[in-house]
Amino acid sequence: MGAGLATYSALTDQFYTTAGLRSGSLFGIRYGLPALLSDIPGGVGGVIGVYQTASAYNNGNYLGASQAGGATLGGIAGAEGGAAVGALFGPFDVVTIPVGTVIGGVAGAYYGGRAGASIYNSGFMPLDAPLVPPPPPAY
Amino acid sequence: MTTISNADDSPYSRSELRPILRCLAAAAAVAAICCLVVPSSAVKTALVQIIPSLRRLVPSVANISREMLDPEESEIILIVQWWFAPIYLFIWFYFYPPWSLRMRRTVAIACQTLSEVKRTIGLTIGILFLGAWLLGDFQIIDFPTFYNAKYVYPLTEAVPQLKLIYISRVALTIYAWVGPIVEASIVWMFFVLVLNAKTYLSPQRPLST
Repeated sequence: MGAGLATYSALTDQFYTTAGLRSGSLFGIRYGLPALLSDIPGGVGGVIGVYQTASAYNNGNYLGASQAGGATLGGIAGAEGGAAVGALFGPFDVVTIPVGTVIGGVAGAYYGGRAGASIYNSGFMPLDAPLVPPPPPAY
Repeated sequence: MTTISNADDSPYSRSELRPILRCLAAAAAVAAICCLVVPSSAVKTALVQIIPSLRRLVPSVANISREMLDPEESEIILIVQWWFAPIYLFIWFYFYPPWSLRMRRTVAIACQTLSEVKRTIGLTIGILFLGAWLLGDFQIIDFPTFYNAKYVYPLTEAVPQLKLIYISRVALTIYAWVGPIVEASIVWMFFVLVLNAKTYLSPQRPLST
């Protein structure tokens, strides 16, 4: 299994280096096994967030969906930023990148979720609010 | 300019991370045991008797446990992991002191792989963010951290993904395992960034004596 992981790692590393995508990411999950391992917290958080958003939306809980959606986007952005800070520590990045991903991710998700809820509550996206006709003019 | 002449002044290598990785593995093993072994009520009662004195030191434990169906069980899972926090701190600062010459050399070499823009932005964001986190830990500002549990309590403001800890024992165990290493690492990372800021901004500096 170790040899398989090493081969996969080497091949993906080479592939994405050749393609110029070595530092690319998709929904918070970076390419290549070493990067993937270091970004598991961000990837798992993103997947759970997408599921929660879809689940809340399907259940008609639009406030919850807005909150979970904001948390997901904020979490992904925060995780990327946190990982960048964690990359400053050279050989310690085995620990500091996952730590950076976690702290950036949770902080981003926290403030993203609050922003999502605020946007919804402000009436910007009144998805579940019944349309109330305006009162007739008083004569 | 001087060259690296002996092992004591050489930059840290990845293989020297064994102490912190071993401690992480030990904490994970303990977390797994806490997750898999459901203590009997007698054992739970005995464990809880020694918890109150520690519970006061970590505000997140009481806040999270308050929302649990079995508060005693979650207290045990959380507190046992927080016992590792001082060990993590000791390892970080004893084995890899941020103020040492070796750390400056390590930072200088790490900087060579990063562009100046990345270094400058990373350093600025890192110091501000980690500083805000530590101020939140000390309750000087209202910033959420794992120590004060504002990411998961109160439930109305909790991060949706982290609400899983209230319904899943496995999620709670992972959360309990992650919290202390993150908090200890943040303290160390903050000191590394602040004490080596000049090196990050001009990487050639530490190589000259």
